[in-house]
Amino acid sequence: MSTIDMSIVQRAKRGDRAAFAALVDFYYARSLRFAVHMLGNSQDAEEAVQDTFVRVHGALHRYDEFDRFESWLFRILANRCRTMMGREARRSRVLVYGDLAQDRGTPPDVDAIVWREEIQTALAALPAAQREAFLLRHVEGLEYEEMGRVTGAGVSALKMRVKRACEFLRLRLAEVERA
Amino acid sequence: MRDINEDGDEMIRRIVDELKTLPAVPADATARVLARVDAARRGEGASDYGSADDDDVIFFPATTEEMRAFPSAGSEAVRARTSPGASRGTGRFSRRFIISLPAAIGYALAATLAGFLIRGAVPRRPSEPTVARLPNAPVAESLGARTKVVPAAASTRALQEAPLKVQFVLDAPRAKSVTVVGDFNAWDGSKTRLERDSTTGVWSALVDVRPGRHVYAFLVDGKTWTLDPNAPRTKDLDYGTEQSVMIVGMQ
Repeated sequence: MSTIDMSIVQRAKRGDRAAFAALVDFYYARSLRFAVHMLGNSQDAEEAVQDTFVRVHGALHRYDEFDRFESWLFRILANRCRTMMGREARRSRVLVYGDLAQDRGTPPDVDAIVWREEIQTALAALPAAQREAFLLRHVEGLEYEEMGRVTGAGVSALKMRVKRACEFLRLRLAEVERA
Repeated sequence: MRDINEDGDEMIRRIVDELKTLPAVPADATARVLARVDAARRGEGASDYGSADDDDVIFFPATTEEMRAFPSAGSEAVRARTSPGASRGTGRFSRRFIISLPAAIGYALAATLAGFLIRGAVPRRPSEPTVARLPNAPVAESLGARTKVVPAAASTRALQEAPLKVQFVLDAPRAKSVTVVGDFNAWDGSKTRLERDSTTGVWSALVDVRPGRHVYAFLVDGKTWTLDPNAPRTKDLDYGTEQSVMIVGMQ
């Protein structure tokens, strides 16, 4: 998982607008991916990511460089996602799958689309805490200690959440494959 | 992924590979962020721009079950919330929430006294059971959750603690599957499936639930979080998700 050159963060922290723009460019897609998976809806995800970067800019002067920048960014992003989840008590999780894939030019593979939809449905059925832990660990590649700083939960609890999420996803998608 | 095998296998690897697909980023995404930053600096738009509420986070374990299983999790959470700055006594947590011990005892005593006074002053009414009823419902049955059968029990204590049959009913004629998730089944979407009445399209299930307050929701087609239309609602403390509330056994 690539990480940003810290000199860019330092320049952004000192108020360099171009460096901040580079920082946004660097992390936007990953942030959007996390938010889409957490919120299940690309419009809300886009709003959460935009809010996140505005808040990152406002809080950069408080960022302590002993903390990994990625953890700090994801802490703010995870906060925004939780706030959005609370604000929109969703009766329905509408997933806009077409927005997920980057290579829109390729012809649609029906099996791949069905598989993707099943994954999204299973992910949406997970409790939010388990979904968050699973995504941070396996999709974003954070260490458990970093995840603790992002979520405020203990390492043992996070390991249990990831384990339960894996069990649930494995079971659910194995059923799909058998069907 | 460094250690996917700690939790996973080929199936998890395939899921993760799919989830790692990066979404398309709108061409003007960065420009919009910069425009919003400029607006916020001019005092327009987000009033909480630069607030200290963003980078200090606390989230305790999502369930009391996890809290019980990992008693250290709460303290971990507090540690996690305090940034390196906070550990030196400058963080939001330490500034806002640390109060002296005598003051804390004083507040607790005052709250207890106020509680006794209010309890004595307000006449007590017997609690109503949660019975969901939807106006103009297409079926005669009331929707939602209701206590159906009271089991026989050998003693008063056993009667108080014995599970009661609660019937969950949801009118969802076009649904392919309906399950109920709640604290009584560990929010497991695969445990409690409702059966469809082919003539009315109404889904129902009888579930053993211990007496007390419970929170729950229906999951339609495995993904649509649906609240009981007639039950009171509450928000999950950790994630703010709305849930329906029922009181079982308070007849």
